[in-house]
Amino acid sequence: MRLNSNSRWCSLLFLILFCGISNSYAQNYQISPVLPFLSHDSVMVDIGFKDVFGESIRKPLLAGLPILLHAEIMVTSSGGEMVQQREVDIQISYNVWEEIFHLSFNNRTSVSLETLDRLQNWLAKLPGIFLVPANKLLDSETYQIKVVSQASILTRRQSNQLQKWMQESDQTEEDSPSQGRSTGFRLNLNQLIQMFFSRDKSQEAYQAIGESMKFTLKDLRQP
Amino acid sequence: MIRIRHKIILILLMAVLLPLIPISFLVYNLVNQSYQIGVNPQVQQALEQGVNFSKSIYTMVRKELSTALEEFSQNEIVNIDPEKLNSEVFYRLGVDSSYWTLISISFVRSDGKPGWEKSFQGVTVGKIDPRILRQFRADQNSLIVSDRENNEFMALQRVKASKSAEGFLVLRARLNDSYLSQSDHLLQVHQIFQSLHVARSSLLKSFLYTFIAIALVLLSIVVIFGMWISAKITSPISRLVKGTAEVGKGNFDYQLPQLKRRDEIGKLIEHFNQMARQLKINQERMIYLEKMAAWQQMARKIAHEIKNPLTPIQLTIQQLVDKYPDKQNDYGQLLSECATIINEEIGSLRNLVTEFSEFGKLPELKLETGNLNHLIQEISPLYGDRLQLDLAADLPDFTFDWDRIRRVLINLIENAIQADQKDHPVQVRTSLLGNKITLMIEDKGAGIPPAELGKIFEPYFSTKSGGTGLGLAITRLIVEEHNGRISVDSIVGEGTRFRIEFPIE
Repeated sequence: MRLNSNSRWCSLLFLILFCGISNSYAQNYQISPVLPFLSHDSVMVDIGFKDVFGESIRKPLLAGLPILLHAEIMVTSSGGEMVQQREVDIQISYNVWEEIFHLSFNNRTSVSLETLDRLQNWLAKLPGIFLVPANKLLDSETYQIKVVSQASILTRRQSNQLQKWMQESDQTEEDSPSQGRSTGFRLNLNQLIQMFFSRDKSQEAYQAIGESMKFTLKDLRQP
Repeated sequence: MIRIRHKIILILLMAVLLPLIPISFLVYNLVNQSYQIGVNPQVQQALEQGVNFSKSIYTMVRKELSTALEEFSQNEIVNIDPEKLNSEVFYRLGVDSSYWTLISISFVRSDGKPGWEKSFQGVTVGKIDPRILRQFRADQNSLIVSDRENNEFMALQRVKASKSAEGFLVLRARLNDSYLSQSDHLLQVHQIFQSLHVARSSLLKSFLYTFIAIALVLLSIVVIFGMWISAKITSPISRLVKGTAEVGKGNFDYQLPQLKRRDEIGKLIEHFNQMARQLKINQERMIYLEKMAAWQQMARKIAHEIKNPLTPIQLTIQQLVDKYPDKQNDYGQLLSECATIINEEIGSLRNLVTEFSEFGKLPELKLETGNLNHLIQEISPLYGDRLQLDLAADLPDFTFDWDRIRRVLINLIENAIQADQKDHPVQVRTSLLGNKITLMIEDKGAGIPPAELGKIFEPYFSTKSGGTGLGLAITRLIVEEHNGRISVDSIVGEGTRFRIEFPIE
């Protein structure tokens, strides 16, 4: 009985301490239908992103903060076993002064676009992505393609810049009067905060998940 | 005792946690509000407007460059003497000199080959990248190429004055560094505020985690401190619990280790040890008094049983001697000698009976206030120079039975004198120690063997021939009746010292 009472106290305490912390972001972009197709004996996939530029992403982008769209494309068999995995990285940035969008696709293709609409159109249908040679898949097996995507607003560079900004704020004139009576021990609160801040990157990212219909190689060969 | 420890730690934790809960709410709200003050929509809007304004200026001044070059191209390009050109021409055509520093003007033929060039800054300008020229669309006459990072700007104007003068005029310029850095800084701040807006949740969490981390450190310190302080408090209490259990079992020799601390716990342990010692003394006294009471009862009976037949025996013997007529013959003489021996033994028995009787019927104490020094001085003349007195001048009066204590003194002094065959003086000392009067009688006699030392206060134990063994027993009984304490130290061949303590109260 005593233990239960203590447990209740602990639960209440943690509830109080952590209430209001949890604040998950809503998913505000989608993956357009995932369409596998066969091209030159390779299984490829068409994917795209819809409604990427909601306000929460558009505003930082137009302020010049780069956005990183990362997608993991997984080919799984009917038993849930992963057959192949590919990764796609799209970095989008906006040159505020020249008013032009730059897009880098897997660090290979670079595209410059003048408007947000054109950028959205480009993202709505990405160039076909090679997944796996067709001969690696079994004719009799049923497969499915799953796409897990994440749009990160605060890249490492931005986070570092933010931390630097916080660090600089630690060296304001507010410190000067206390330096005279310094005891040698000084708790650097900002660094402590940054320690937690730099560990928590997941909150600046949005996620979208999409998957294809289940298919066999025979389905793909038919026009 | 573990429960007390847990309670102490729990109380300390509660003392820390209870204020921590409202403080955590307060801190969270404070951080939230501070954040909203710093990253409020008005600041963001102002920054956005600042960036837009800076961007308008940027667009406008670039346009100046393009317009001035276009106007310049209206001139007869063919007849231009590049050497006579200077930057003032372009400033007059609308290029704002507070923003722009013109570097050069040059003419490049349509095929990309250089025509002429005039540098305004005295530096040689490199060739134009052919890819730039390819950016011109067929219907396009002017173009601005910006490399803001390196602060290099180029205005290009297509000219088609004649076949020989078909190509591009290229005006190179550099923007005011101050403007560039200020506008870049403005954009950077705007970006940081956007980042802060985006990272709001994790930033606030970071503040809260920091607070929790500090709180956890404090809690750990409290727990460690609590454990330390509870151990400090409860470990002597644990010892006391064990000690009282031992004393409860009758083990009055049990003593707790004395602590150096001077607080209540230290005092408690000191008093416990004192209590155990006192209980042991009381127990010993009680046992002794009970034993002595039994001896006294026996002594009374023996005295009674022996005393009664002594007189008839003595009278009968006397009659036998008196009735025998011829006292001179052998039998008569033998009878007379036997009668003498019997009378002597009867006398001894009478003395013994008297002592037994006195021991068995010790009268009630007659307590009076007096000074022990006076009593010693009163009896000292009886022993002449055999006594060496060392009496404390400040010895206070106390209540005692004058006659009985005199008997104690005489017993001990005579024992001491008898023990010392070399006639050394017997030392008699008095002193005041705390609330006790101490009397010491010391001789330089033969000493008492350790094996006998524990028995000397027992009744009927004597090392002297002809002794009844009641002297020291009576001495101790009298001392005990005065709530005093008698002890003896002796070294064989060196002497014996009796020590008596009388409590003043």
